[in-house]
Amino acid sequence: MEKKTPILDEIGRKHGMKVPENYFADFAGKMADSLPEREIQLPEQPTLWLRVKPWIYMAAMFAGIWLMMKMFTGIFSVEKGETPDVEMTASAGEERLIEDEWIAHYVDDYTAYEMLYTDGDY
Amino acid sequence: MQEYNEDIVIEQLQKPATVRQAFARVVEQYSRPLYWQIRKMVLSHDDANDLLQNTFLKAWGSIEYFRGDAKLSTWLYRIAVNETLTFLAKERERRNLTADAADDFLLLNIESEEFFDGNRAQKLLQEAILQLPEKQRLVFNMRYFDEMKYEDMSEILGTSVGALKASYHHAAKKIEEYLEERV
Repeated sequence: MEKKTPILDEIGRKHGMKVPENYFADFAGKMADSLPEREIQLPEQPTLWLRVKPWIYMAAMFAGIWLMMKMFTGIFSVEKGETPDVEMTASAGEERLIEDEWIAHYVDDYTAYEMLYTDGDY
Repeated sequence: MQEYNEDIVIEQLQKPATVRQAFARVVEQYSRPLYWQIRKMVLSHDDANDLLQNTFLKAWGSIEYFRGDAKLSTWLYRIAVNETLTFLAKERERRNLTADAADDFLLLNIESEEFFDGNRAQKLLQEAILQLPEKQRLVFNMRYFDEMKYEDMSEILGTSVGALKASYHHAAKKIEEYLEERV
């Protein structure tokens, strides 16, 4: 406890103020009567949408990133000449080569002419 | 009358069925200390009575926001202090006084106050207290008259214990000087 000065010591801790008789007993009663009626609002429960919203946003973000990566990978492959069609073109060329070899080995000149005329090219 | 148990009262305050009854217990329990806290700041009984009513009405109006994280007394003291400081600011504004000016106008309250029967020394002490800035006045009243712990004051006023101790010592020194000149 702080040391009081002689003057404060002399005055003491009394302030000299008083209240009307029965003030506090009456106050509590009057206050209880004067409290307005009110509905106590309980904190709102979060809806299903509010609860799942962050997860949906996160999933949408990852889906967006995945799509962008997919798109950029496609663009860079085209720039490097590695289109997805290249494989198909190569296999088609291979097929034609095999066909040419078959014609060269197993089809004689006469049959070849005959095939050409049958197709109606000449 | 059942003994006042703060934990039970706080629990009842959270339930719509018991909130009104519990709040009446709170009013009974805290009206006296809050009244004196306000009265020592405004000096007039009528003003203190109005401010005490406003304090409880504000508390009632926002009772659902009281979650029991802080002490009930701290929460109520904070409301009472805010109400009092707002009232004093309005009074100063009405009288065209700056925020730093001593609240000498409150002396009139004590001079014309029906509910003051202090002696000359007690009146002089009130005069001396009115020379202090309002925050220092709050600190001095809480500590000197109510012997409130600095830790509790710190929670109510949102100021560090060290700052409160320093504020109290400055206040006591100023009051001592004021009294020495006049006694």
